[in-house]
Amino acid sequence: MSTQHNLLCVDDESGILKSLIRALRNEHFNVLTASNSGEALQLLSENAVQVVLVDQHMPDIDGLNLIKKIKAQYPTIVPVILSGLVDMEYVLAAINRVDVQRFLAKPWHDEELKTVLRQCFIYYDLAQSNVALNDLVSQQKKQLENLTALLKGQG
Amino acid sequence: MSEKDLIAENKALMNALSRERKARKLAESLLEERAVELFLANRELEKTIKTLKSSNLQLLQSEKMASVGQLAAGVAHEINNPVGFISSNLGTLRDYIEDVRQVIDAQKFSIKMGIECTDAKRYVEINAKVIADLNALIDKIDIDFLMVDINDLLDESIDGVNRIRRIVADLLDFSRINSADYKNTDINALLDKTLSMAWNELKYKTEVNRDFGELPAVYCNDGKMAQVFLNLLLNASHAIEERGSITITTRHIGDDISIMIADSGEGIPKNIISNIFDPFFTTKNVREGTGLGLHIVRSVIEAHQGTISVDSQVGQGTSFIILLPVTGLDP
Repeated sequence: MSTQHNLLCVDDESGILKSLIRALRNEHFNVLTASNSGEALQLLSENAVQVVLVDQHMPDIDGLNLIKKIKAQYPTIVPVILSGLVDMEYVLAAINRVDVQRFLAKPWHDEELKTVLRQCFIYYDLAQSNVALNDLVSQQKKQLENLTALLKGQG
Repeated sequence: MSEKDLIAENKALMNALSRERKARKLAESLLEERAVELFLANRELEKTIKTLKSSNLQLLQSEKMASVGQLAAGVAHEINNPVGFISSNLGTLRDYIEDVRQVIDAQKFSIKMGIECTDAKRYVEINAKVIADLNALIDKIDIDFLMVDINDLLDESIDGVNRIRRIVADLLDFSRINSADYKNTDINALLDKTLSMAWNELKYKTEVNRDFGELPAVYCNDGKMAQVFLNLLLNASHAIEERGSITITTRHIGDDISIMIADSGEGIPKNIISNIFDPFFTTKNVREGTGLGLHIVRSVIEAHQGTISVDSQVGQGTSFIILLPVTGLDP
């Protein structure tokens, strides 16, 4: 997988976005930021984004609903929630209903954040290469079938 | 009348008298019994009242605890945002300082060598290498960006700390409402004092009209009341986009006084007007408001057994009307 890795962070608070850009400045992925759902969807349409890090609580939309919206358009994107209030019910809904990959609490630990995001990109790449390999297998299976048929015809 | 008759009459009278005595005794003993019953019933009632009072207190306390719980959840959310970016920023700052330290160490080495090296040719040789290394280091860590970003990082973090400070101060104010100093207060004078406190905020875009009626002294907590007026005045000023007016009207009506603070600002939309007194409800962005202002206002007014109501037209303005009993509440 040699494609450029892009992370999109969505939070209505600029202080959070800026601190994320700083914390992730030496990572092997680009960091894009959006402060509302409109900006987020715009950036997603312009860039190939693999992982989204979404604030739980924003004035224009709830984090889970934004992820639902994003997943509907970009089903392969790996979503992570960053939440100021870790409430059991919400975490369960996030994981079970919206298929959120990871759940981070504010205040977060930078090292934990980096590890989680790296793992998310690895997960994305693995899922993609899995799809590619499956394609290859089914292609090769077809070729094999063709060859077998050819051999049978000759025999 | 014959003697016999007299004796008979006397006997009858004596009988009547003894009957009456008996009856009175009976009545007295009945009365006494009643009194004892009444006394016991009274004691029972007093006990019931005591129980009622204490369960009422417990009820109030649990209601207070419920609102504290609600506040705590909101506060956790409000505070975790700034704590999140401040702690991350501090971690980054430590890395930045490590980079800056490397540059300083390289420069220190260069200076030390300049002082200690006596062989000019050798000095030029080594110095060229030191400078090349230093330049490479400066390029690698992008020191120009670093120096600018350190400033931004500190500014943003200080903003965050101030936000936390404000949230905590608002909370403390909120919790102190019940245990404060009450005294007879001239509300008009207090309004003037508050106006001068808020003047810096108001003077650029608002014309303030004072329509003060004669008011009796009001028994209240003047510090808290000043905070109420301040919150309302600042809200009024925030509601005004460019230029507008704020009108303050006070009147003495029966056992109450009324204070109206009206602005010509943008008004409050109908769909949110019922939420404006809820804790952490705010239309301002996170840097400007905690969403506790009007909640505290209402709590203070209610602690004084007063009422506050709001009337608003989008595009025309908003009026807050406070009614306070002159006697106030004995704490």
